[in-house]
Amino acid sequence: MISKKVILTGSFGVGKTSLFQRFLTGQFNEKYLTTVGAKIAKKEIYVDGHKVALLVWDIAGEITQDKVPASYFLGASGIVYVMDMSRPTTFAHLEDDIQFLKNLLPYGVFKIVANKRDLVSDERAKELLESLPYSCDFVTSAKTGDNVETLFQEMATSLLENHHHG
Amino acid sequence: MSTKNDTSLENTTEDQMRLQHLRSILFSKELDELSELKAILDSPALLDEKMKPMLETRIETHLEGLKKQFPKEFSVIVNRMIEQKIQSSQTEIMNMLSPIIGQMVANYVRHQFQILKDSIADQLQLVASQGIWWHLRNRILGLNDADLVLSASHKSVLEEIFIIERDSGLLMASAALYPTMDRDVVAGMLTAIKAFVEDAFGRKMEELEMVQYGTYCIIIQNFHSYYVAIALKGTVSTQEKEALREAIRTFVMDTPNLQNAMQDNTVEQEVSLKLKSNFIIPQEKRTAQWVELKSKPFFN
Repeated sequence: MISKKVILTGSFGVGKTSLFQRFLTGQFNEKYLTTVGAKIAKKEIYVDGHKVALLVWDIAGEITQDKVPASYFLGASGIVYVMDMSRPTTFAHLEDDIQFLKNLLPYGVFKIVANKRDLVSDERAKELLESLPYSCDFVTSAKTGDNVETLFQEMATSLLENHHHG
Repeated sequence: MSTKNDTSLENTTEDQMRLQHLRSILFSKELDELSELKAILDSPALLDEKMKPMLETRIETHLEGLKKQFPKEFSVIVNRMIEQKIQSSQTEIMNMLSPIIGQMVANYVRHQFQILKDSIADQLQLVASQGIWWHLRNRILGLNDADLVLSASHKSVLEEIFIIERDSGLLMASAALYPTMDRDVVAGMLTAIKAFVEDAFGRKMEELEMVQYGTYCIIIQNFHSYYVAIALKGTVSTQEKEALREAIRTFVMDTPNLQNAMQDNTVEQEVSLKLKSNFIIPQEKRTAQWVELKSKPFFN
């Protein structure tokens, strides 16, 4: 079994904890509770017969990533950068944030996620995704569960590939 | 002059009288009973006398049935009502309970002090009975009599030991006295707390070395790429902490393959077993002879 540290990051209120809960427990809670510091949980996933333990750090959201304590990112193998499709301010810093994180973790696996798909129309979603400076890896909804499992499954697959290729 | 109608009326009245007479003859018994029943109904005292035994039996039977059925039928409702009442009257409940809880805590503390006092008295007697060479040896070893007495009075127990990768917070090896919650998560949370404290106070050159909560403490020994966290229960003297830190340094030096524990599960298991045999002492093996423990705390 290999263990990998994965960070869920992004602005506040984008649904990081809801994605975290949906992935861990398969449930969604309408109540919004802000995360203080960090919450950590483990989930084991099988990828091509290999067991991968994801140690997921759900950290408190900040408007820009340079405000997050840098030590949280140390030793992380994967980053899930989450945005809220219903709040444009949450992807306003996408380019700078990703650049900042890539400087910190040049070998990390990055997944850019547009969450809360259930809150926007198809037309609005298309328009938003086309306007982003980076292509979005996953469009998710923690509320309906759309793409959440796939997101973490693909993260585990990419981490395993990285692990095998050194 | 009487008409046909008058004759007919007379006949009817006569018939009725005859019928009444016939009724009184035929139903005399029933009529008596009816008037007796009417007398009972009209008199509350008589009614009470008649009904009371019957009602009592019925009520008793009903109550018996209710007692049997109540928990099944109403427990959910009653529980909900109690919960609501507690929720809405937390302050009142606390006001009511706090004197009782306070008294219980005071009694508990008094009891524990008594135990500690007795234990220290025993240890002092033991110290006093030791010869001059014993005291001299302790001075040379830098062991303080007071510390020895205190540590022996309330022996510390090493419950868990973790070796954690410094940056990622991933667990490299671990051992525990009892099965506990997921150690990977514990390692991650400890790393997050450590990072938070070190960042929050902006002291990059200083590191968290101990976390204390009640009678538990976690001693942290930092190395270049990993750190060792030791969870202890009980009072730990300064000498014991130092001895423990020294033991960790020795363990690290004697375990050159420790660095490979993250990449190789077999190495992780070997290191974990070594940690267990070196640091975790099962209850049945813990010696009561504190004099021996004090110079080699936590070890057999």
